[in-house]
Amino acid sequence: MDKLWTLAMKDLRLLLRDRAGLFFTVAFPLLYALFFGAVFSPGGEDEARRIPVRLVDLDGSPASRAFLDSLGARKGLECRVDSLAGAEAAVRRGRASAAIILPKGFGEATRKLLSGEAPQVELLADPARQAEGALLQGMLMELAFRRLQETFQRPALMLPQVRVWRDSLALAPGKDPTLQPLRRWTGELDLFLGHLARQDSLSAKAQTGNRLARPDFTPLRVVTRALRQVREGPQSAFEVSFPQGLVWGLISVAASFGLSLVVERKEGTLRRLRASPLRRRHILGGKALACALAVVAICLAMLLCGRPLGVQAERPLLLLALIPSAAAAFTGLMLLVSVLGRTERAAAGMGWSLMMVLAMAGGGMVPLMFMPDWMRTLSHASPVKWTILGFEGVLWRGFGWTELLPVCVVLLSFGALCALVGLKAFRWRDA
Amino acid sequence: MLKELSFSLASGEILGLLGPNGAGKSTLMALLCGLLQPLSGTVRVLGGDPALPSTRAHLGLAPQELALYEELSAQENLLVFGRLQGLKGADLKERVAVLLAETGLAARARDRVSTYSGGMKRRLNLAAALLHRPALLLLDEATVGVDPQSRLALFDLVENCRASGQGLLYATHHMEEAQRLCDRVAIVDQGCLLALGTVPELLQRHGGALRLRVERKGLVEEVETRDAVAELARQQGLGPFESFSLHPPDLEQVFMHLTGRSLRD
Repeated sequence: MDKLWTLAMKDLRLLLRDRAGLFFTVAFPLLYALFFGAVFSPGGEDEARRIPVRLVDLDGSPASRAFLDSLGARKGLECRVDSLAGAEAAVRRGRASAAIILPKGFGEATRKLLSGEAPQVELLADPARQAEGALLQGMLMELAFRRLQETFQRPALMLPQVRVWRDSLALAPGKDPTLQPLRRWTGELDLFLGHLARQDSLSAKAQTGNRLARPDFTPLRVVTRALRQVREGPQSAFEVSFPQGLVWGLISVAASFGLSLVVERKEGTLRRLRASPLRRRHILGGKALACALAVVAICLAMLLCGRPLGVQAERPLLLLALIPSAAAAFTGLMLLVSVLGRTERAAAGMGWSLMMVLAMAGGGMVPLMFMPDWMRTLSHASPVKWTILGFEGVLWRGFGWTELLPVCVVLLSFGALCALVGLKAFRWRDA
Repeated sequence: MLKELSFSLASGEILGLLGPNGAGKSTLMALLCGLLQPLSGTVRVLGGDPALPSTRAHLGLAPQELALYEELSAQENLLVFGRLQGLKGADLKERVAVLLAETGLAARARDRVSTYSGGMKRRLNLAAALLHRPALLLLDEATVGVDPQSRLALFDLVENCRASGQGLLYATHHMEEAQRLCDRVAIVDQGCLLALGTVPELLQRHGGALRLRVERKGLVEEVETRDAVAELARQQGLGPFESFSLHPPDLEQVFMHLTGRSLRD
């Protein structure tokens, strides 16, 4: 065991001395996980897609200010109040995607909504960014409807609208038979809303009120009740990106150690080891132990780094089965890589090609959900798929022992098969 | 393919192994330290089978390649190889320190081997084979690519080993090295042992005649002769010459005589 340990420590020390190897083994997986986690985080998405907009208030009424405040509160917009000339210049120079201009009379028009006079908003959009212009148009309509809904829900806001409408109907000329009932109805609506507004005011003062004494304006009563939170899907993009990044680290470890055996054969150190009182199983066992320890270290390091970002095992005990299984799979793969070529260049070329195929097929590059059926079937043969599935299972899929054990069995079997082929084909004579 | 190759090596003796490329020197080395198994017959080294770790524990190999971990320091290399040879603790540390001093590497013991010159690497390569004080040391082209200073330092190390009673099998292409260091020389070709003996014995048996070199009108002529005086008189009869020199047979002559002049790949 002493000799095995000496060989393993020697290999780990060599790995630590190889800066490029260390980068691809430790730093690259972490950067991969952080980068893709950040890109696909909801927060990151909002930041990335905020549309720069200039707001121009030519009306200066409380209604126009309230409208602009509502716009400014929208998450997807980066709003800045500007003069008309300034806003036009910003759009022309591409500093803003569009300018939203509230013309004079906007506030007055909002009071005459029921009279059929819609308030007008001017959207000055960059023709080169039509998609963003269309998005803004949709946002403005949504905002207008929301304000209309608020008006209908609050009698105090509705009352001036009805009064303006009633007055305009009173002044309307002609003998239209519908005019008279409409005048009567607006008069009664005025009285009714005035009553509700007073009642609301009194209720607010007393902080109590008999809400059941008048008809409720809410179109739909929604009753909420507490529900036990069932976790479905990852809580953050990091929970997806960390297993994928981790797998790249394991691939790098398997490739590094596999190629180091080829290098040892070429440089004669394997010859020296074989001439010393070591058995073959010691020599390959030392390399395998170093590889397995590196896999364990990378898994733990990635989980540790992911912790502040919410990447945590729901049942940490499951890791005791998963990490050794992953170590076995990638150690077996390492032994296979070591026999793929006689020279370092041949082994590196074939080794990395194999790794790339396994990574692609296993969802290490593109998530499996985007792949065709035949590719998903093929992915069963890749340890990358099973490792990712295992870590996703522990992190957010809610795996228990029943779900995890088959994954571990597949990983162990894959490792055993690769190791068997590697040991059988190992070229001791070349050493 | 090696055939009927048998020789003995006493402790405190250096046996030179000479042979052209493909003669079987490396195969012999590989068989002796258990890297290869004989297709038929047996290999016995120090009374044991070199395939067994217990036999290999008494062997030291300095391979032709610089079998070192370039990204480790000299000290780290020696510590790793020492532990693998079964050395531990204070004994290991002391042995490493002694060898670093003997090879002149103590000052740069903590530097990575990748920063060393070719001569330093060769000395470290030999030191790694000496760590466990092996009874039999197998040196394969131990001085390839080194400067005269490093070569002399390596010779000193080899001679120290002989003085301490270790047996050495020294494979080389350099005749002058074999002539200087080796107590006996074995010449092999095509897997067969062609000659074995001390250098004077080999010269006597296979060295052939004296070589008389005569320079006449700017041209050098070389002739072999058993009677130098008679040959010189014959040359004078052929006409006047500017100079002459007489060369006794050397190991190269023996080697060429035994292995021929045809090129080997």
